[in-house]
Amino acid sequence: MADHIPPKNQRSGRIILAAVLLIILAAAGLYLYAGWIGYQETPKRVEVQDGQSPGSAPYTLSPEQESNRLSYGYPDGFTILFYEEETPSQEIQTVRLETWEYYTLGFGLTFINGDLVSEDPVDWDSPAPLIPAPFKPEQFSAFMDLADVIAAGEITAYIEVPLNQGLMEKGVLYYADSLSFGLQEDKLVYLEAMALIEE
Amino acid sequence: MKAKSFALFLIFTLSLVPLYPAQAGGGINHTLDEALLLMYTSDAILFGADEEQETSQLPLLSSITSDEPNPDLDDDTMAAILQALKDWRNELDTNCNLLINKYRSEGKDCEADRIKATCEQYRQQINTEIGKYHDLRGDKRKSPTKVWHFLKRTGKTLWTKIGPVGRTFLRRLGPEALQIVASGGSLSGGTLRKLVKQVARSMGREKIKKVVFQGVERLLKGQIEILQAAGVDICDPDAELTKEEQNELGIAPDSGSGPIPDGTRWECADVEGPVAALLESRQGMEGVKTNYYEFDHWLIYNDSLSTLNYFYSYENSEDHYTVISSDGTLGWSTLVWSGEAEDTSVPVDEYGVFTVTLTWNEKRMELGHTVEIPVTHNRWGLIPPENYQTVYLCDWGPRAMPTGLETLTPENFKDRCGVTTLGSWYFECGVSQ
Repeated sequence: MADHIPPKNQRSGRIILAAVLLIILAAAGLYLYAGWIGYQETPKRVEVQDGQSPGSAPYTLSPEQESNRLSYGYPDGFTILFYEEETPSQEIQTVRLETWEYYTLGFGLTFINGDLVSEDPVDWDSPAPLIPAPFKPEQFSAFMDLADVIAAGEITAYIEVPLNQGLMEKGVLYYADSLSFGLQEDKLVYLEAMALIEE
Repeated sequence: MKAKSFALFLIFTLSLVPLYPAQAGGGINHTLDEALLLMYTSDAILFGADEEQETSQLPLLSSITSDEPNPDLDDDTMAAILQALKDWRNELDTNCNLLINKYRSEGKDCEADRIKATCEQYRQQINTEIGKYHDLRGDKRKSPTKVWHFLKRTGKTLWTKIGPVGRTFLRRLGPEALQIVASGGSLSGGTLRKLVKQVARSMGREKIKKVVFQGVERLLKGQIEILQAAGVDICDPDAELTKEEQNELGIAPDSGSGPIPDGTRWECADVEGPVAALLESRQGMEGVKTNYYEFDHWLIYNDSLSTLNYFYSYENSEDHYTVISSDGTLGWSTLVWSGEAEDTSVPVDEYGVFTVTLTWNEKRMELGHTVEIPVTHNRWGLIPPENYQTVYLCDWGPRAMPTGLETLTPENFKDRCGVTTLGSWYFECGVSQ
């Protein structure tokens, strides 16, 4: 029976070996984990593999927005911010703050939840032909996820720029054709459809 | 003992992983700040690329050939974030000053002070963030952070090989972002165009200012409203008085219900109208001195016809530092501009809504010359049937009259009217004693 008991120095050797293996495993795990974080945080270009239909319901223009659309057409470019705010009755409401830019007509409109809150002049006199953004404001609704934005905008390729976690947890910026948008926790909170000009 | 050492080792190793503060919850998951920060960072990335191109003149956009990540991309993003934070702080300062001045011009000093304090808090938060990012960049990084970034940078190559298909790392963040936005979603050619806001950068900044101003104003107003709703007496003690208390003090207004007496006259105050807009736009402007801004704006009710007599006139004067003679001499010249319009029969419908189209010639006198400019403005208003004491009035400018005015209420009126510098102005008219 005594033959089956390893000598004391042999046991110590095994413990040391196990500890070294654990250290190597931990180091490898840390390296892989850090690499995975690095991979996720690195800006990259993504080609959309298969198109889908948007899962979120599209936005319906307010009567005031519809009226302006009928009068002036769709804007050349627009910016939309989605956020939440607390009402005096302590309810959380979603706010859709958007600016519509009519460069060729010389003005811009700002809406909050579909109500026109300001109209401002836009000083635009470039002789180069303007190419309006190929999007409509109602294609995008509050807190869409990435798949829905891609489907709504029929995006085929985009650049993904994850923001540093210290700045914003799970904040990611995206760039596509005439489009820049930002998601936080996979919810759309910022979108800008940009007009272009021929050089 | 050895197990304890190993546990300590693991704790030490894990402590190399930076821990970031969790997002403050508080029921609101997506704040205006976060949306704005994404907007600013996006702009900083695109404009940063633009600046790089302008200064180096290198064909950066056509040099994308490798799938290997650029080790400096982290720093590119950091630089864009830092720039975004600085831009945000600057815009916040500008917009806070505008808001504070607006409230002061309305005599709401308490609200103005509250906004000032809130703005200062925001400013400090942004400064803290800026300081943090300076520490995270370059030589200022602490050793554990440097180790962590080294591991991330070297370790991601493996994941590049086994990650999902259709993904490639960028070599240059800004130029490639600009490329995909401005060339039809392509990275490998296509006609390269320019962003409108790239050509007219001031326009991009103006748009941001507008968005931020509207958002911040709404946010701060909301905070004040929440405090008031919670019974916190922040600014206006009289507003908290009950009707009985107001009666006791003899300050209870006429209820304003019932039919409108014939000959009732309302005087209109420029709440967010042309004078308020002028005051705001002239804030801190060099080369302009205000002499006076005067206006006369009133309504009189004709009960038998259910119509209003509507009168509006104004005269403004400013001194401008400009060229005052043909030889190019500079000096101060006085500009006076005025106008007057009246409609004696403006029908009021059963909802208390009225619309009026005013036309007049604006006279502009400067350096001995007078020019007349024809002006047409559509205006619409509401005399609330339940309380005619206050008439709400909107100058809609040259735009076509809006539809659906029958749904106007005192609560939604201001939002429906909007507040602009181009021609949509808001007035409130009180019964004159």
